[in-house]
Amino acid sequence: MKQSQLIWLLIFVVGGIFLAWRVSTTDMGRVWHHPERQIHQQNEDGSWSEVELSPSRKFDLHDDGDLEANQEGWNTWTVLKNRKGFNESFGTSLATAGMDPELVHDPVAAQAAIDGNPDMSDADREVLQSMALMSEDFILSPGRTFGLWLSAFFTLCIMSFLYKDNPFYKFAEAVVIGASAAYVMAVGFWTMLVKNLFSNLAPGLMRETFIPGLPEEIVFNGWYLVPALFTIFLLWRLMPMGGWISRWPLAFFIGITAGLRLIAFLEADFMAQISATMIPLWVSVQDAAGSMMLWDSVWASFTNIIIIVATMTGLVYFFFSVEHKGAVGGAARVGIWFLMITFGASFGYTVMGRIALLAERLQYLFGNWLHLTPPT
Amino acid sequence: MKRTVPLLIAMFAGIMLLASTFIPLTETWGETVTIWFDILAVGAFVLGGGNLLKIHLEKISSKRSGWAFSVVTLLAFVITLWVGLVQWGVNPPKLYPTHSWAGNYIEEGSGLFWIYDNVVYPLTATMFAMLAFYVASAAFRAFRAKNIEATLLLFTAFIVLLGRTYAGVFLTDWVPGFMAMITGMTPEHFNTMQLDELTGWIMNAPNKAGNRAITIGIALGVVSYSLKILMGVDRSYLGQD
Repeated sequence: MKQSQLIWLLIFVVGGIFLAWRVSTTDMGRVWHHPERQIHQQNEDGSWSEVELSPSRKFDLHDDGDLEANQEGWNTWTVLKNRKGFNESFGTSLATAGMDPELVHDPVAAQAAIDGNPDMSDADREVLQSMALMSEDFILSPGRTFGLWLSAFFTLCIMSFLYKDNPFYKFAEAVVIGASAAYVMAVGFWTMLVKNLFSNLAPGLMRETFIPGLPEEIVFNGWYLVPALFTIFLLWRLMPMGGWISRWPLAFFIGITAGLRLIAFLEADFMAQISATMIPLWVSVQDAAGSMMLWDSVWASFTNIIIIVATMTGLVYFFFSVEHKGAVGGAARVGIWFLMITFGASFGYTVMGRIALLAERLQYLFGNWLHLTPPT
Repeated sequence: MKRTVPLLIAMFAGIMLLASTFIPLTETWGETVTIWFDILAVGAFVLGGGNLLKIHLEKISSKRSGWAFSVVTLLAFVITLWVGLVQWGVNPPKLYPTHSWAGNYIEEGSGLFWIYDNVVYPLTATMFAMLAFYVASAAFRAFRAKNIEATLLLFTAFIVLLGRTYAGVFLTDWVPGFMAMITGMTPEHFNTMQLDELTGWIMNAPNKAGNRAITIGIALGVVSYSLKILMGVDRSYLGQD
C-alpha cells in the first residue's frame, strides 16, 4: 500500500469513528420538524381564505371533526435544525416567565405549569404553550436529515479536489452539471413559458390549471406565436437535417441584444459615467454652525481630484488613435497606475468574497452538520 | 433563406427596440420583444439540456472513458427535471386550494427546493469557495513587486484583503490616536489611515474611477459593435455556409 493511500485510509477511519461517536452521543446530523396544518375555507363568493388557527391548533394534526366539509387542509413544516438549540430557547423563555427552565425536558409538566402560572399575559401563555407542544411533538425529518448529510457529502467531495482530481470530485461534478441544467430548465419553464408564453396563447387553460388568478382581460394573443415558433426553430438544431433554421431565432437574439445593449450602455455606462465624473474640484465641507471644516474639505476635494484624474488618464490609456508618447504617454502611464490599483482592489475584493463563501461552507459543516459550532 | 432572412430579422428586431426607446407610440413593443427574448432564452436552456442528453448518451453508448460519470449526470438531470416539472411536494396556493398545479414550484419543502438546497447550492457554493485557494495560490506565484505597476497592484490587493477582515482594524486602530497625539489634531482627521477606512476610500475613489474608465471603454465598444450588427456590417454570427 502506498503512503498516500495509507494516509487517506487513516483519515477515513478516524473520520468515520468521529462521526459515529458524534451521532451516538449528540443531536448531530439530524433535522427535526413539526408538521403544521393549514386549513382553508370557501367564502360565499367562491373564493378561498385561510382559517386563522391558534398556535396549538396550528400544530394539531388530528382530524378536525368540527370543521366544515368544504374546508381543505394540508401540511407544511416548522423546521428545527437543532433540537438542543430549540430547548435552550424554550428554557430561556420559561426562565423569563419565572418558571423552571428544566421543564423543557417534561413537556406535559411544562404545559401544566404554564396553565397554572397566574403572572403571565394570555399572549405569552399561548406562545409558551405552542413551544411546549412543539417540544413534545417534534419528529425526525428523514428527508431533511438525508439532505443535510448529502449536502455535507457533496461539500467534502468538492473540497477533496484540493488534494487532487479524484472520483469523488468527478462524481460531484457530474451531479452539479446535470442537476443545475435541469434546475434552470424547470425554473425557466414555470417562470417564463407558463407565465408569459402559455398564458398568452392559452389563457383559459392556464386559468384552469397553473394560473388560476390570471386576469380575465388577458385573452389569446397571436403575436406570441412568434416566440413559440422561434423556440421550435431553435430546438430544430438538435435534428439531423435543417438545423440552419435555428439561425433565425439566433439572429433575433443577436438583434434584440444589440438594440437593448446599444441604448442601455449609452445611457448607463457612457452618459451616466461621464456625468458622474463631472464633479467639483473644490468641495467645501461645513459643520452644523455653517463654518468650513478645512481638513474635511481638503480631503473631499482630494478624493474628487483623484476620481477625475484617474478616469481621464485611464481613458487616455485606452485611446489608441494617438501614439502614447510625450504628454499622452505620461498620462497613459498614470492611467496604468490607477488601473493597477483598480485591479488590485478588485482582486482583493473577489478573494474576500470567495473566502466568505468558504467560511459559510465551513460553518455549514461544523455548525449545521457536526454541531461543533451553533447552527445557522 | 439561410443568410438574408436572419440578417433581416436581426436588423428588424434591433431597430424596433431602438425605435421603442424614442417613439412613445411603440414603447410597448420594446417590452413585448424583451419578453419574447426571455422566452427564447428558456428555449436556449432547453436546447442546452437536449445537447447535454445527446452528448452524454453518445458517450455512454460508445463506452468512452468516464462514461459512468455521464450516467450520473443524466440521472441527476432527469430526476431534477422530473421533480421540478411535476411540482413534487408543492402545496396548492392559499387563495386557490383546489388548484393543485398552481402552487409555488420552489416553495420551502418542495422537491425542487430540496434539490436546490441540498445539491445545487452546496456544490456550486463550494466550487466557488475553492477558487479562494486557487486565486490566492496563483497570486502568490504571479505577484512580484518587479516594477511600479506590479507593486501598486500587490500593495492595493494587500490593503483590501487586510482591510476587509478584523485583522485590518486590529492592526491599525491605534494609528488615528497616535497621529493625533503627534500633530495635536483630532483623531477623526486620521481615520483614513486605518486599514478598513483606507479600503473603503480605495474602493470609492481610485477603484471607482479606474472601473469608470474601463466601463466607458466597454460601452463605446458595445455601441459600435451593436451598430455594426444592426447595419448588417458584422455577419459573423451567421456562421460560414
